[in-house]
Amino acid sequence: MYPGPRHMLRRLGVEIDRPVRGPDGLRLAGRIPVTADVCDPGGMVRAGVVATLVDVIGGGLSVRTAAPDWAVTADLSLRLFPHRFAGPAPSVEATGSIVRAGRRAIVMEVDVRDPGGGPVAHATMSFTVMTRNESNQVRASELDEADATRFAWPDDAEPVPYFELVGLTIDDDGAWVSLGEHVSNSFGALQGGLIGTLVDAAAVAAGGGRTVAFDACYLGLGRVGPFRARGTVLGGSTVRVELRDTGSEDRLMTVALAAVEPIAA
Amino acid sequence: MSLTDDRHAGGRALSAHLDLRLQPARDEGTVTGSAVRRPDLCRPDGSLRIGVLATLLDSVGGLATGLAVLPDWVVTADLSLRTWAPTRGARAHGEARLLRRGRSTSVGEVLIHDGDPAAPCGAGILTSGVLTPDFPLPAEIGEVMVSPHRPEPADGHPPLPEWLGLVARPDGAELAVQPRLLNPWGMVHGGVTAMLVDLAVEATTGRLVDDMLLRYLRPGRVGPIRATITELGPRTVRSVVTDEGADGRVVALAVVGVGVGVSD
Repeated sequence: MYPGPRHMLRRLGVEIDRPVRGPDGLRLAGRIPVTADVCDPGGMVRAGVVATLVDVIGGGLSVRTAAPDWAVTADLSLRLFPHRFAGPAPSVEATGSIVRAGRRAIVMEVDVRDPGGGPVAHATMSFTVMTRNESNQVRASELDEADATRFAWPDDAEPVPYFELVGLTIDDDGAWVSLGEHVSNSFGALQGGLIGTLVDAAAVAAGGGRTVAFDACYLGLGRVGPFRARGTVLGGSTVRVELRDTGSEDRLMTVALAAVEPIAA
Repeated sequence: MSLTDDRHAGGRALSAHLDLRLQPARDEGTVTGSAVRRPDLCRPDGSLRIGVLATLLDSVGGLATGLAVLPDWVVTADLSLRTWAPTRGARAHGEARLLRRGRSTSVGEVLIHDGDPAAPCGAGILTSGVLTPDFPLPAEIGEVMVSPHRPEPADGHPPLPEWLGLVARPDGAELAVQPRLLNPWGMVHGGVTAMLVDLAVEATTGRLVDDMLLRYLRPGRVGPIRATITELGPRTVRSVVTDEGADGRVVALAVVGVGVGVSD
């Protein structure tokens, strides 16, 4: 069963609505509750967490658009806007829409807002369409008929802090995550949102403050691990991040350019 | 020979205007290049426009990704560029290196500097789509490419908006398709689209552009090519680029970060 009972998407409490096919094309919305453990000290949701929600929505849209073929993330660009979460039951909602669906690539936008409609973030993504063999094809109609989904954390499990659950550690050598059932995607590789989380963590480790933007190019899947992201300040607030699969001959998985800014007291 | 007789004439005209110089090192998968810093290509604060830097990135990055897929060639799918310091030298330099060569896409990254690679002032990533060209590649491909020397115009170079044929609109700007603005694929050059977005954002918001993400979605061939600006959030705007002569179809999408005001 994907995702497993203690998967990161359950810890985040991801909800995904039923997709809507309208005159402007396919749209998909989803949300997560905002808890203190996914925010920075200034009350903004961490870029890596927003990227995870965006990745879930983007993945859901791309698989429906590419059907009966498959699609993998090629790149993700994220811009965060100033916001501060407080009060009862805060959440962030992401709505994705297709900008272009071609034979080889799919491009989409994802708009992220707070419950009052205030802008939280904006993302664009592109996906590469992969041809499936006949025995492994997906029917778009089946995907459209899927009900709304909520990934709930088991009632009998302790609510582990999010970054503790995903096993994010930071040392002098970078930000690290190991592969496990709780952080993998449906085909056993590192979940796409965790790539954004590692980029975010490495950018902050190198540049300080919080990540407010990144452009990440996905060069290969993370299949073995542990995965290490290292940030290098290029100048000003711009940090270059390299993510590598150290268990797979240190293969380069992702290169990103991130922008950081200080967190106001 | 007229511009339309040679599929590379448009690219050469743009390269000549920016005085682009490209030097590939095929064995290493790297390309270095530079563009001139002239007042007509600069922002009001004297730094080269991000649209011009994006054209440099597109040129060196495109060449690095293209040389990796010969005899096929590439068309830019998307590029992102961040700057953090003004360009102050006589020329801006770009250093591109190949990150990945795939069957359908090729990826490169580019560092922008003023002449000292150890002190960069910008950086970017470029993804190219791999296509089989329906035109002969230039004989000089893979060699050092220096734009032919052209004498300075007696009355100086026109402002960039004038050279592009830019027409301001309340919510952006547009330009007509001219042969000198086309790439060898017969579509508006990616660098021209970047300069259109840059100028449209600056004119509409009154702020200087510091970073740009540009996704090329479809070819712009007919024109006018129109950039329409809307605000996404503080200091971030979205530009939708449409080909108005092709039923207004969307040809590019940009997300742009703006900084200080033009008059600050």
